[in-house]
Amino acid sequence: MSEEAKKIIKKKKQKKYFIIFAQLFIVITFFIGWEILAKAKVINPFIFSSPSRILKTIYELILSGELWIHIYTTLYETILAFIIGISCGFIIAILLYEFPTLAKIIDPFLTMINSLPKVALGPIIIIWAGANTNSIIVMALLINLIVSILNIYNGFLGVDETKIKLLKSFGANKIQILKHLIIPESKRTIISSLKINISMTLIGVIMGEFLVSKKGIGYLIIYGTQVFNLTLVMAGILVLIVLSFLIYEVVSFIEKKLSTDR
Amino acid sequence: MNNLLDIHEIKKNYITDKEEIEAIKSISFSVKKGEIITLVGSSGCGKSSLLSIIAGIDHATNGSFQFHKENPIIGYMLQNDALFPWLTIYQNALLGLKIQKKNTKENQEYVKKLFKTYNLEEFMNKYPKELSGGMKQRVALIRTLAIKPDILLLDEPFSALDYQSRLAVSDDVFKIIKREKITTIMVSHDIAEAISMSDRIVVLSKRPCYVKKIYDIYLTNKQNPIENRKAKEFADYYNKIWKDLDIFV
Ligand SMILES: Nc1ncnc2c1ncn2[C@@H]1O[C@H](COP(=O)(O)OP(=O)(O)O)[C@@H](O)[C@H]1O
Ligand SMILES: [Mg+2]
Repeated sequence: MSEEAKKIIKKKKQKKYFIIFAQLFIVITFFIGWEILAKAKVINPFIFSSPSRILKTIYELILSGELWIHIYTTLYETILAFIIGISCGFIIAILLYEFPTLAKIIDPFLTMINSLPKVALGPIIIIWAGANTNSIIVMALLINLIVSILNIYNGFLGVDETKIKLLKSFGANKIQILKHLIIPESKRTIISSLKINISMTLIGVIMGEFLVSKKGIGYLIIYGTQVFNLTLVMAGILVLIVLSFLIYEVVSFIEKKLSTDR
Repeated sequence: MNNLLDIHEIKKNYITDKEEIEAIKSISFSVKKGEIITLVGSSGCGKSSLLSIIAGIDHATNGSFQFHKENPIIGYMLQNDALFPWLTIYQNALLGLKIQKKNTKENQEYVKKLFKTYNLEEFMNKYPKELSGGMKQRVALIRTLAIKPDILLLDEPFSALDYQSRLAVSDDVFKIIKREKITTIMVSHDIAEAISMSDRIVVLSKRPCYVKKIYDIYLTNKQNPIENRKAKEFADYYNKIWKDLDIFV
């Protein structure tokens, strides 16, 4: 490697470190500033809480074991809705692909449901599905299912026409075309839609927990609001931020693992 | 009678949402066993449509074609290699056999032999993206040969390649076809390529196409496509076909 190249690489590394440093700086300054302003009563700690209070609350939640129950509940609902959403999305996308007339018929309805703010359906869902976990799952499905269907279906439509012709020239039937071409080809589309899907699912689950629940991080937040314990609300939000970040990272990891095996 | 295929007054109209497009007016010709016959015609005149019909992928609006062989096996090769990126080269080559439920030990051995014969053995376990365009096209040909076709339909099989590989690969493909003695209908928009590879050339009119002329190609000292371009009759055929095609640029 030439001296010049080494220099450029070193510069690039330095820039990377600088970016990480700047990010940490922003986070730390934010929390310290918040703490100081709250301590000095410049902002009302009753409404804005403070980092130390939030950490203390989280610590107490951990000690009482409550935190794990909430995290477990939200996680469980999210994973369940995620798996159901992807599987149903997959099956429905296949049906739409195999029956183009069906796809044309329901196209405007899909668009309509997709553009509807799903939370508006909350009250009805509760009545129909019951004030329990079912409603939360349904809420999450409403949000992630349409996205799954459209994503996977569009992946199917994007399959190279030449390859379909090739299989037909071998005498392949519809099921063989699905098995040998459409599904493996859209595996990439499905994988790349996992990330957006998990985010959508989490939104749905938290929305569902806002509406009905006795457990879960959404519940923690809504409960805190009801008893006007803003520290609890913020503790819930902080936990949610960490949780969603972790989920996202796990899905990214899965995505990488799946896409390397061609 | 040594005809493998008779095509009789085939007509093809496409019906879209708005209109009816007449793609093929009427096409009749016969294909002799073992020959390479090339269709030339301006782009959009209906060449691919005709091959799709013969391949059984599409139906003719009118007319018929008849193979003088029971249950003929048809090998179809298209413009791009259409290799599946998630399969190895070897698995790609077995695709047709799998579809036709003929993926037997014996046939697998045959495919391996093809790889060996055409110097692709060392690439069998590689993935398509690791191969050059010319190699991929040869793999596509092996995939087609694997099902032991009675007739080969080649739809501008080299048009995605650059000029150099195009010459080399068409030369290779020609040798393979001749060695395996497979009857071939090829489509090309390259007159020189057509003359250098074919036993006969069918010149089609503009859309909706009909058969304008059929040339038997006699070249002195006929050998491989690259050498054939040097034959003394070459320019004569070229000029005639060029005139027939009536190309304006
Ligand atoms: N599926 C289709 N629907 C409507 N029109 C088509 C379809 N396929 C081909 N055509 C039309 O038929 C004509 C012939 O097409 P094609 O056989 O692909 O031509 P070529 O292969 O000679 O370039 C073109 O005008 C094309 O637009
Ligand atoms: Mg064409």
